[in-house]
Amino acid sequence: MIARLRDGLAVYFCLLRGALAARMTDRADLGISMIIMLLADLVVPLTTLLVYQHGAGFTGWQRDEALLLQATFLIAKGIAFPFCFGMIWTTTELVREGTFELLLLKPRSTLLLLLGHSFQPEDTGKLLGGIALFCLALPNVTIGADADSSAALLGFAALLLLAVLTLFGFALLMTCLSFVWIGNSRLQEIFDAVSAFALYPHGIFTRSALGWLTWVIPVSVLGYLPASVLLGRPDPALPLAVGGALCFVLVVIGLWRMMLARYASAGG
Amino acid sequence: MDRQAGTVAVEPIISVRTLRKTYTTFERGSTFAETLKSVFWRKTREVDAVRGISFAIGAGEIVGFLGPNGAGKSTTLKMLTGVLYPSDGEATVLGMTPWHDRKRYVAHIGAVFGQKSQLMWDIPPLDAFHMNRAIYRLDPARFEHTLQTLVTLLDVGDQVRKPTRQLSLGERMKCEFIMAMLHEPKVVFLDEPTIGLDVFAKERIRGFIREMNARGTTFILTTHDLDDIEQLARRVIVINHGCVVFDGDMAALQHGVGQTKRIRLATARPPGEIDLPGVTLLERIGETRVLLELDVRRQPLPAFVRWADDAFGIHDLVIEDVPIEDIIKTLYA
Repeated sequence: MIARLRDGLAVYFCLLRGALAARMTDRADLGISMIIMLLADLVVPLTTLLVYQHGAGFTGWQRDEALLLQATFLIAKGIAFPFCFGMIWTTTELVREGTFELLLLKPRSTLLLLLGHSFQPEDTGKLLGGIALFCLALPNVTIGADADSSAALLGFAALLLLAVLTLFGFALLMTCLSFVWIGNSRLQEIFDAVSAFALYPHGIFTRSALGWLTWVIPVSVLGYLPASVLLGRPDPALPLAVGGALCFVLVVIGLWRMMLARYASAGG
Repeated sequence: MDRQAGTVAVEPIISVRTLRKTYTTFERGSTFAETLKSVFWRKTREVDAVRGISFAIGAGEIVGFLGPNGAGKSTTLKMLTGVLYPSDGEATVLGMTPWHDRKRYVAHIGAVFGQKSQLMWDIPPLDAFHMNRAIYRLDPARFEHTLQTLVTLLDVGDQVRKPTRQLSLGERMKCEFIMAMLHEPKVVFLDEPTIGLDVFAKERIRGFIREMNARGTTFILTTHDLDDIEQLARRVIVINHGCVVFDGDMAALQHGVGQTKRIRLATARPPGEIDLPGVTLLERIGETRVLLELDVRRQPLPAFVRWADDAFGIHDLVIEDVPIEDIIKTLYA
């Protein structure tokens, strides 16, 4: 098992090195893209800052707590986007060109190959922005409140990992859709619109909206739930939300296998 | 032409039995109303891409797989490479069913596509070769040895270190071959490997295929370039409308239509109407020159020569076999 994991990781890093080398051929574009990614994702936190400066805010959430929530989501995105979201566009391109079968001709997991080939270093700009915001907000909040702060930190780390896994699930879902929806440039826009709900505390949503964001589309787990655990105010729905997110990822993996089996390629 | 069953002298390495693939496609008209209607409802149609084909290929063969566009060649190739599930039928390659346990199977085969690159555009082929070393779990020492052998055979020592986008098409194709052969596959599927190449690059690629075949690799070659077939394949499988219409060696293919000859005739007197059984006038080249096709089963050659000399007086006579292109066209018809 460990040998297989090491073997898989060796392949993954070899492909990742290739993808990075390919991206490095246009370093100016890479640098500009990274800065744009960083700035674009900092718009909402800056707006939050303005809102709080004018005396308004999210009920029950101090300014730095709200910024911490948003930083959590940015960190999760900053990890998931460079490593997972490139596969959507790679798949769309390969399916459109009829060259997806070149991946199927390799004696490895197609998903592993896709992930390795699709590394997007420019998206690490999101991660830098998220870490910077997190470092700014963290000193001004109380970690774990009355509870043990190390337990809160551990819980936060576990939920952040789940957030990254859930984002991987979203990326894989969009990859699956790209088999049947070739002109899927709208997918990312739909995802951005839906995932934007992860940037705000739950207090601003109605009960039915919360139900949707927790059970149907697992958005809560992307920011709110990890941040609330770190602040020592875990949501009562946390265990079910975690279960829901894991189920979502498993269902998407099942869908991926089905789409792969159904792939018929373009004509000769 | 009657279908001839291909005979395999050695134990088959590829065995295909009544393989079938049916697709569902959508149909719509081209008018605005029909386009609008297709947004809500599309008529489906079942297409039999491959209609129960059977053949066997022995180890060490080079088999040409021919057919017009849309004949079912690529679909068959995709099923044999494990990329596509058939609708029905069986196939075994190297004792494995390609579409079952795909990952284990594809470790033993190679594929080169003239129009689909396995290299990465922005990085040198050498980097892509090293990716394949990891993907195929190749022993580093053996990988280096195989790489050196292939690089020497194809004479691309300098090119493998340049970014792929800087290579000529010929150099790129040579690197595609290295990419496909690094894991020393026993069976290699080639899909139009010489498309767009100049004569020198074609010759180098063909020489490489012959060399690897002499070392024991079996090749299945799909191409529209009949020179490739003539120079490489000893056996040809022709597929049309999803069915095998010819399966036999090249000599049998040429002999089958070898009963027909092309005759370029220069005469002393202008040849008028030629109304002779088994003789077809193909072209009048000049007043006293014609191109004829002669079916020697209906009109023996000596009898025709005597008749032509008596009728018009023969100045010059050239007898040719029917070109392979025309033979194939007959099969495609």
